[in-house]
Amino acid sequence: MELGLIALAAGLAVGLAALATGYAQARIGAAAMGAVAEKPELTGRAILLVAIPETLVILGFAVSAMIILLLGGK
Amino acid sequence: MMVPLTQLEIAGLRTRLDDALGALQELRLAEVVTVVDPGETPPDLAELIARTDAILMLGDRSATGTILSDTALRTTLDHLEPQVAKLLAEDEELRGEAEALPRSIAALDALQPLVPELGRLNDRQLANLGLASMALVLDDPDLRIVPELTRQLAELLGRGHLMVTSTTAPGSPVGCLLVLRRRDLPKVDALLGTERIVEVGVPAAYAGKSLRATVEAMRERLAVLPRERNRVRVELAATVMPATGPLRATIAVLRARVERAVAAAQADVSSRTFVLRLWVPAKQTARVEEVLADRLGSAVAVERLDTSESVGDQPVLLRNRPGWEPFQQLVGLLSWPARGDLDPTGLTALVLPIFFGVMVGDVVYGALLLAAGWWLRLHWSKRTLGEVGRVMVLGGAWTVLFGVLYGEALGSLGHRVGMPALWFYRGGPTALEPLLLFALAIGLVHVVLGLVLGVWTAARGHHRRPLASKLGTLLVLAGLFGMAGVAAAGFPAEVLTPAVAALVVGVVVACVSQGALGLLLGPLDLLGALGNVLSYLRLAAVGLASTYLAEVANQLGARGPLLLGLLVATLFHALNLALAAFSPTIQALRLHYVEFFGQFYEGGGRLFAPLGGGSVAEGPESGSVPVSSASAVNSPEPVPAGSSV
Repeated sequence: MELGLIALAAGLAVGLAALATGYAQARIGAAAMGAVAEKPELTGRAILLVAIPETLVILGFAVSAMIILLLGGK
Repeated sequence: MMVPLTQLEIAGLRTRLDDALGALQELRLAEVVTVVDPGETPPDLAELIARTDAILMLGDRSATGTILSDTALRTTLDHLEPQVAKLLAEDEELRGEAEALPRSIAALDALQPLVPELGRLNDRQLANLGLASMALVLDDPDLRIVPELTRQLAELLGRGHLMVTSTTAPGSPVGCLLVLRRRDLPKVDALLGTERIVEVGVPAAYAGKSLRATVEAMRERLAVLPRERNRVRVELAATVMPATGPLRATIAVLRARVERAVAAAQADVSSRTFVLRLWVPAKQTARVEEVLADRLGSAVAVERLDTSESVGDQPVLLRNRPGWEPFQQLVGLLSWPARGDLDPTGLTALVLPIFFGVMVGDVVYGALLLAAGWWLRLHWSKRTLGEVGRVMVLGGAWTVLFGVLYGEALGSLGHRVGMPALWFYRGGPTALEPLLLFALAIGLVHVVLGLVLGVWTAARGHHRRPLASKLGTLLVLAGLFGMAGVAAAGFPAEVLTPAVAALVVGVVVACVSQGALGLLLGPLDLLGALGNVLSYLRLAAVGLASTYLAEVANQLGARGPLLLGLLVATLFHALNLALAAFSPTIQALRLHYVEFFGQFYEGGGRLFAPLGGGSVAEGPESGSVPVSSASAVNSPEPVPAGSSV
C-alpha cells in the first residue's frame, strides 16, 4: 500500500509538471511558429522560448526521483 | 574564433570609384562601412533582375555565352516573356483539367448504371422529346442537401422531372442526374443558385453528347493529357534553354553592378573625388592595399584607420575548423557573436555531441546514427544534410562510447546477452542515483565554465557589475558544492568553514553587484544559476526515457510469435531511434543556448559580408574563411542569450 502511494506520488510529481509544461509550450509554440512563419531568422529564439518551460517537467522529474530514492528505498 | 578586423579609408578620383569597387569585388576581402542607408536597388536594374530571375527559374543551365547589354537583355526578355507566359498558361490549364476530369468522370459514371436508357440519349434527342438533362455534383457531407433539393424540386416542378443520385462513399460528393421539361430549365437554374450546389462543368467539347459518350470522351481526354502536358513542357524548355546560359551569365554581372551601386552610395563623393571606408580582415590589409595600388595606381590612396576604440556596427568574421561549420550555424541560429563576445563555436562543437551521447548512450543506436551521418556526409557533402551528417557522426560516436559505459545495445538487450557495463547500467534498480549525480556534475562543470568565461569577458570589457555578479555566483556555487560534499560525499569537515564563507561572501557580492535592487535581484540571480545546474537533470531524464522505451520494445518483442515479436520490436526501436535523433539534439541545444551561453554570451552581432559575397579568398596568412553573405544579410536579430529559469 505504502509503495503504491509512493509510486503514485512520484507519477503525479512528474505528470502534473508535464501537463503544465505542455500547456505552456502549446501557447508559446503556437505564437513562436507564427513569428517564425513571418521571420524565419527568429528560429533560434523560437526554439529557446519553446524549450524554456521544459524546466518545469525537469524539476518535476527531480522531485519524482527524490520521492523514489528517499522514500522508496526504505 | 573571431578574426580581427580593421578599417581602411580609400580616397581617389571619382571617375575611378567603380573600378575600385570592381577590384574589391574580385578580392572578396572588404565590406563597405555603412554610413547612411544605402536605399533601394536602382529600379531599372531591380526590374531586369526580377524578370531574368523569373525566366531562369524555368531552366537550370549554368552560365555560358556572351554577357548581354541592358538593351539586348530587354529585347531578349521582351521576346521570351510572351511565349513563356502563353506556354505556362497552357500548362496551368492542362493541369487544372487533369485535376477536374477524374472528379467529373467519377460523378457521372456513378449515374450510368442507374439510368442506362437515358444515359444513351444525347442533347438533341432529349430536345426532340422536349426534355433537358442536367448533371450535378452535390457537396453534401451532412446528408441534408439531397433531401432538401428533392423537396424543393417537387414543389417547383411537381411530377414533371426525374432525379437520380449516386455517391461512391458516404460523405463524398453526390453525383446527380436531373431530367426535366425543357421549359423548366430557367426555374431550376435559379433554384440551384444555392452556393453548395455545384453543377458539373462539362467542357464545350462534350456538349450535346449522351451521358455515356460524355464519360467516354472525358476518359479519352484524361488519357492524352499527360502527353499534352509533356509536349508543352518540351516546348517551354526549347523556348527557354537557348537563352538560359547567357541570361545566367548576365544576371551575375547585373547583381555585381547592383552591389557596386549600393556600395557607391556609401562613398563620400565630391565633384571630383570619393572617400570610402572599408572593413578588412586585419591580416589582409596589405593585400588589399597592394591590389588597389596595382589596379588603380596613383588614382587612389589607402590609409589604415585606428580602430582600437569601439566602433559601432562592426561586423564579425568567424574562422573555425571546417568540421565545425554546422556548429557555427547552430550558434548563429540563436544570434551571431557581437564584438567583444567570445565565439562559442568550438566549445559547442566539443560539448554538444557529448551531451547527445550521454542522453542516448546505446551502442547499436550510436552505430546506426554514425552510419547514417557518414552516409549523409558522403552523399550531400556540400549541403545542409551533409552538415547534419557531420553532427550525427560526432553524436553517434559519443553515443557508442557512452553505450559501452552504460552496457546498452538496443536498450537492455546488450545487458541481457552479457554485455558488461563499464560504468553502470541505466536500467538497473540502483542506476537512478549515479545517473542524477552524473547529470548534475556535468551541469555544474558546464555552468561554471560558462561563468568563468563570463568573468573573463566582463574583465576584458571592464564591465564591473557583471564581473562582480558572476564572481559572486561562482563563489555561491563553490560554497554549495563544498557543503554538499561535506554532507553527502565524505569531504573532510574542515571544508565546511571555507564553503560557508564562500557562500556568504558570494551572496553579498551578488547582491551588491545588482545595485539598488540588489536584495531582490541578487538572490533571484543566484536561484537562476542553481536552476541552470538543475536543468542538466534533463540529460538523465531523456536518457532514462530512451532506455525504458527500448526496454518496452524488447519486452513486447519477446511476447507472441517470433516474427510478430521481431516486427513489433523493430518498429519500437525505430521509433526510439527517431526520437533519439531529434529530442536529445533539441535538449542539448537548449542547454547551450539557455544555461551555458546565458553566463557569458551577449550576441546580436552581424557577419562580415564582403563585396563580391561568397567566401573570403585564401590569403598567404589565412585559411579559407567561410562567410555566407546571404546569412550575414539575414543574420538573426540581436538576442540576449537566455537567462535562467
